[in-house]
Amino acid sequence: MQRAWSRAATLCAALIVAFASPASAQEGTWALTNARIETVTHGVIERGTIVIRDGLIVAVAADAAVPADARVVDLTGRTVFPGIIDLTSSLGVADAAPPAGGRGAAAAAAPAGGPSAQSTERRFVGLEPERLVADELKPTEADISAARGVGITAVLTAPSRGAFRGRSALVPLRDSVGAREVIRSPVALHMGYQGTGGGFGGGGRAQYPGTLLGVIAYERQHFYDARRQAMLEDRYKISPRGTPRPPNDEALDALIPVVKGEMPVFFAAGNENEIRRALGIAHEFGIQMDIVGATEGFRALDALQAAKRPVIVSVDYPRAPDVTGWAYRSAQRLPPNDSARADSIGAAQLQGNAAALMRAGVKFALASGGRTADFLPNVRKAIAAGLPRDSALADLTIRPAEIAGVAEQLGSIETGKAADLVITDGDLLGDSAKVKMVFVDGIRYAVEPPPPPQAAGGGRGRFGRGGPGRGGAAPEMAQVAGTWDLTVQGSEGPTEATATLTQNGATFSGNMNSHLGSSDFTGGTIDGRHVTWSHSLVINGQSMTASWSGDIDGTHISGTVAAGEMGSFPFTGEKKP
Amino acid sequence: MKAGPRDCLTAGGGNITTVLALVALVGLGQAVKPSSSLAQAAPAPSPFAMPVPAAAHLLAITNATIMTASHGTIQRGTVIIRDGRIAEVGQNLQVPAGAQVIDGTGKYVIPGIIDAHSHTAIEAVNEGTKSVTAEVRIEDALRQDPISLYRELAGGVTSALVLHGSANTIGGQSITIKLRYGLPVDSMIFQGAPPGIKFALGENVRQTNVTVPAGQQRRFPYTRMGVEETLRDAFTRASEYRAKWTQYRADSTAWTHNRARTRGLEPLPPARDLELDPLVEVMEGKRQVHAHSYRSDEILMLMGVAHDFGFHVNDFTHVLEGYRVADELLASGSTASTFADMWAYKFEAYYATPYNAAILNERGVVVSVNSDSDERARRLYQEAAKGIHYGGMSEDDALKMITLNPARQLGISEHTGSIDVGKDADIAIFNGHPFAPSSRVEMTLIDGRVFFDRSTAPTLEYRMQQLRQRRPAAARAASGGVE
Amino acid sequence: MKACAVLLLAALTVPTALTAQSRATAITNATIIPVVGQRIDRGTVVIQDGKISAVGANVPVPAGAEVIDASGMFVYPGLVDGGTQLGLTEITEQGGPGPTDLRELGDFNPADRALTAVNPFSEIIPTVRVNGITTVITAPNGNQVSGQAALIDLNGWTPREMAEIPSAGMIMTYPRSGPAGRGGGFGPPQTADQQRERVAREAHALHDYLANARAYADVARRTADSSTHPAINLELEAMVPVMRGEMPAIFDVETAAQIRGVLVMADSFGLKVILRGASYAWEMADTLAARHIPVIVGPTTELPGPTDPYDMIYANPGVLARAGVQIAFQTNSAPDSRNLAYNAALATAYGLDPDEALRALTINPARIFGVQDRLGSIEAGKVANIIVATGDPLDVRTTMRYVFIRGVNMPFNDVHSQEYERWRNRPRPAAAGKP
Repeated sequence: MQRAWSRAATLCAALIVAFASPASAQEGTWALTNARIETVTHGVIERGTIVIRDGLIVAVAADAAVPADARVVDLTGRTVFPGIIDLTSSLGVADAAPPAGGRGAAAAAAPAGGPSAQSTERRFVGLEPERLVADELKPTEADISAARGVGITAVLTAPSRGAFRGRSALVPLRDSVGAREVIRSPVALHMGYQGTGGGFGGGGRAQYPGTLLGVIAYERQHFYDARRQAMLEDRYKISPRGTPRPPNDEALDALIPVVKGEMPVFFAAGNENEIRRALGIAHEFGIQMDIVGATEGFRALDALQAAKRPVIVSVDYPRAPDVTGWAYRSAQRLPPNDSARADSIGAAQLQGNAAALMRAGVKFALASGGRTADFLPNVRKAIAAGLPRDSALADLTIRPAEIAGVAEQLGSIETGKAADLVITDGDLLGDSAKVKMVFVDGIRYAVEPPPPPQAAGGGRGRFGRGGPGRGGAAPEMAQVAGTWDLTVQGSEGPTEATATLTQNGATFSGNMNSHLGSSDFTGGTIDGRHVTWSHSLVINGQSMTASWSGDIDGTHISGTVAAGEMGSFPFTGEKKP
Repeated sequence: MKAGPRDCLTAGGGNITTVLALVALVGLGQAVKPSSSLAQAAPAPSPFAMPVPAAAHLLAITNATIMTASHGTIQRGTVIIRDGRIAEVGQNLQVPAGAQVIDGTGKYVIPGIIDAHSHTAIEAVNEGTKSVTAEVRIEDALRQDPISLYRELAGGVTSALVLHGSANTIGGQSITIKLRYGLPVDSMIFQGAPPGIKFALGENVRQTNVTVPAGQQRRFPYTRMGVEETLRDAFTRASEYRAKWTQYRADSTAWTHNRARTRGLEPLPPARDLELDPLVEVMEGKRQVHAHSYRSDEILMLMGVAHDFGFHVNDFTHVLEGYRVADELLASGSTASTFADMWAYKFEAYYATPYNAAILNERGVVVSVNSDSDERARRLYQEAAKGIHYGGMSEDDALKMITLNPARQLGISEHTGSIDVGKDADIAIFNGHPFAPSSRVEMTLIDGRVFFDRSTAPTLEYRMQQLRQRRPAAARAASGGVE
Repeated sequence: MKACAVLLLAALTVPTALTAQSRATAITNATIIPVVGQRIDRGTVVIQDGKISAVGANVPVPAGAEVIDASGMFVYPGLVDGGTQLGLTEITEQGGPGPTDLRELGDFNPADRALTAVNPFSEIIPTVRVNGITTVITAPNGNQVSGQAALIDLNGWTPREMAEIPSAGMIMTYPRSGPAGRGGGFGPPQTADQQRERVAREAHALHDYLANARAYADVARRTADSSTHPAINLELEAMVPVMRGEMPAIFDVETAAQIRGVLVMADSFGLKVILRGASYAWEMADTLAARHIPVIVGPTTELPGPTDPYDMIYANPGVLARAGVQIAFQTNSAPDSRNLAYNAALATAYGLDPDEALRALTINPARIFGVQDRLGSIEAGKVANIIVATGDPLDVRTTMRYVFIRGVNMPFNDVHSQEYERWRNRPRPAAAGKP
């Protein structure tokens, strides 16, 4: 009886959290005292005060005076960071419909809309440069609070597929945000490679352009047309008499600032060739182009360097076998059981993408790639793979502010900037950070533990490749350290094994022990709750590799173990208390 | 107890293969690595990279039977390659000091095979939404890493014309590549090859086999008559477009030289049209037309259109009924690229004959045999030999059909297509006569660089050796087999 | 229209099917490769009444025999294609449903017999014959049980006349999952789970079907002499010889997993199994050899799966043969059947012994289908399916000079030869090139 009651109470609490966020939002004048302040642009104040008034930071210093009318929040033991700005969002915009046929769909295409994208009456096909996202913004509070819970205070939002997707808006993550609250619009013209999917008997709409081939030609033709439109309009302005009136063409008019170099293009390009193709278009037309995604940026460093433009780097890492060049493996003699090893080397290389760009002198912002919930865990992987932690912090705050053209207003904790702040227990980029509180435009939002996965969201991989069924709230990184008793359901009945694991950030090492013997291993990986590791095993004098893959839920683990030619077997296990 | 070689030896009694397997497993894989420099190049290679050995400054293939494709066969000959080009070919050549040597004893050396009709290594083939898509470029969809490229190298192919599919009357701009597998995508492009464009006639562009979804219009054209109209319309528009530009250039020059105050605004250039630009290039002889065709009537139709618009068709590809209009092809200066013996896969391929190439060759048309398939591309040498089987072509002529003739068709014979001094060292080395039944490619070089080497290739034999090493006895017993 | 004209022409001018003459034929001075038995360097083969009446170095030429001086030529048994669609299709792929009889509706069609639908006058057949292919398996395929294959000689006025074995085996497909080596298909891609689920379902259905057939066959045997015979079920009736191990079950498979599945079914139901395709049979070579399961490999002109060794499909036949598996070749096509020997040639380039390749094209398929007493070699008493070639039939440069089927010297009247003769002699037009 008592247990039932307690469960009901928990449920109530969850409901309150889910529906009560407006009540927890508080405006006014604030003094955040005794805080450790990471300003990003002016170093760290170990113990200081931030004063907020009218949504702006009016003072930040070790000894800033607390105004009489301020509500004081004592942040002893806590750290204040600038809010994270995510430049890869589709918050509150309807997506272009994916092609009906399916087969012709570009590989990178994500499902239509985020989990909560509002449907609009207009049916977009991704050929609408004139679309102004700010005009149609309809985010849901669930999406907003989920993103805020990660520490994001502003997002750049645009449709996530299409050739000409529309022009983006930088949106503060306030509740009930609409066109009135938008920070900047339009920020950039968003482009990509998705056609309508129509084609040679392939079903779907037979509207040009259907494929990658047509998309690139279509984009180039439109830039030529926009140049001409600009010329016609200029001539008409100079000499309205005697000059034919140029046609009114909202699509071309939207492209004119782009071809004049006044508005950047944010081009969604994940893999090496996509990056190179996009930069080729930028070069042809002298366009200011920022690549968005660039998950294979490390393969196109030369092109990105030559472009001399910042990059919006997604940390939604692709799987190694989906990466350009993986196919080369089938053209080489490789050691036996090399696949798992190569996969993990590949994963490390992909996670080291940002670090490689940094070493190459390419400026960039880090972005979620649409998977908000995994954003910071993925950033931590980039740090583990060599990106300095302080750079990573700048790449989440001031760099995106610069790229979005709002570095005067956002991106750091400085007097005069918008009070977009994240307050944490522990380092925001450390393993055990907890976001406790977020300010957006000086409005305080309490942050509660992430709601159940189905209620949260923040989209699926739009700029990288979304893993199926992996959206949802940020899973805490699994804690694997300890001793686990595992039971493998083998073909001839269950087998027991013991795993003794030592965790080191998102990786772990350990020892496996069973009646087949004992073996040490390193290189285990943790991706949220998902863990993988492998080790060698000797059976009757023959060596083979056992690859384990499981999901941890508290002290329980379940998954499968693959043992070479013997096949795959399910296993379960419990952590010893 | 840690797993390791020692444990294995004691536990399993240990034979040499077991030890090798374990050595490989624990990462000391030297013992099972192939001996060539190719595999040893990188100690901790990226899983996304292909270790391509650097080209030797000086390379000699010695004591081989060299089928030059241009000047007969040289017995016990030597090819000397300097900085990627063929420096000397002949008998009794002195191998320069410091040259890397490939012993060609018992081997046959032929020019690298050129596939004049390929759809390899591209991420999209047809932009099938319109009947004329001259503006789309295969180069935009090129990809460097598909395994098909490697397999084509393993069939001796070194260059290919990569074309659009045949969904549209005018498909788009083609690209000629060298199969430099493992190098960046832009280094695959064959520098100096003339630009091209793919046209298509007949059943595919009529889309008579396509079921149109409810509520959608069938695409024009639906008959071969409509195909001609589509072509004439495109070239009429292109002619007018060209005239506009000609006029503009004249006006612009006049305006520049006109110093009068009343000269007004600078003349307005015509709107740039990416669809018509390549067609203008065709009419100006700057872009080759590769025309997918089957029936003799449609071949004659396109010749007529070309004649009327002042261009010629560089090559008719497939051209299954080319044998019926061989003289017309020759007279119009067109070449032919055909299948060795494909037929009966659709009605317009019903009057095909495997004697096509022989008849075209007899009548003086430059003819090549192509693959149109990542699979067939791997055995074009066997396909070329069918020219001997059907129609008694000479071995030299048969060899030309996959080397010098496609090179001439594609305008790259200055660079490749035969074993001649000054040409790129694009070479395939066979273990026997390339047309003999038991022959296979041992090595393929592009620009003197080894891109395929069977001795280090991941063969089935290698795969089996690995499986034997790693398969535990328990699993072998469980499978009920002896393997 | 044109097609009709040519068909008519061909049919009217030269009869495509010929009947054996009673007059003997002697092929003399030839190098004879009998396949079974020693090579004869300068020998004679005598053909009489459709049979080989004598073969040897010192065989007398019967009086009145037609003599073919085959000096410098080579005599082989006719080649056998272990899997074709000959006679069942005229124009493939984009031909529409009209010209093909390759796949009946429904998953289980054991009662359907390929021989029923064979068109003896397919224009494709003569083009295959002139490359030395004299005998083929022709069959529908693609369903779980597709129907009965026919072993036919490529000559005859009616399908029945062509038949060597009207029902040579039951064509079945074992369900397959996993990354494609070949096949693939154009449906929406299935996830690994969906594939597993589908394979399990289909394997289950096939198993159930065989179990039903087993029960039916058992009842049929028990009640054979009584009046309590159960209602006749045409489908299951057709399965009876298969369940009794009298008719081989010819399984189209590719992967080792499929092959294992087939072996389990063979054990469960006592099937006499022949595998076809089987690109991954190399993984099971020793097992297949130990169990005496023959494999009809091919076509070798297929791409392996993306991560497979580049030469896997070329090398597979050699691995099987060296392990002791009895192999034959198939083209699984109608027009490509003429490339049968070149399929085998690719295998010899990657490890198959050339002599074994020749056996795989002749005596092996004869043994696999139990007609080694009649076909597959040049031995006295056998059916006179014989080719006279300029060289090794595996060599593309070789051409056939004579092809005998059941003793009939077949004319080289295929449409391609005819078109060649017509068009190579086309007068050069005066104004060629003027459109």
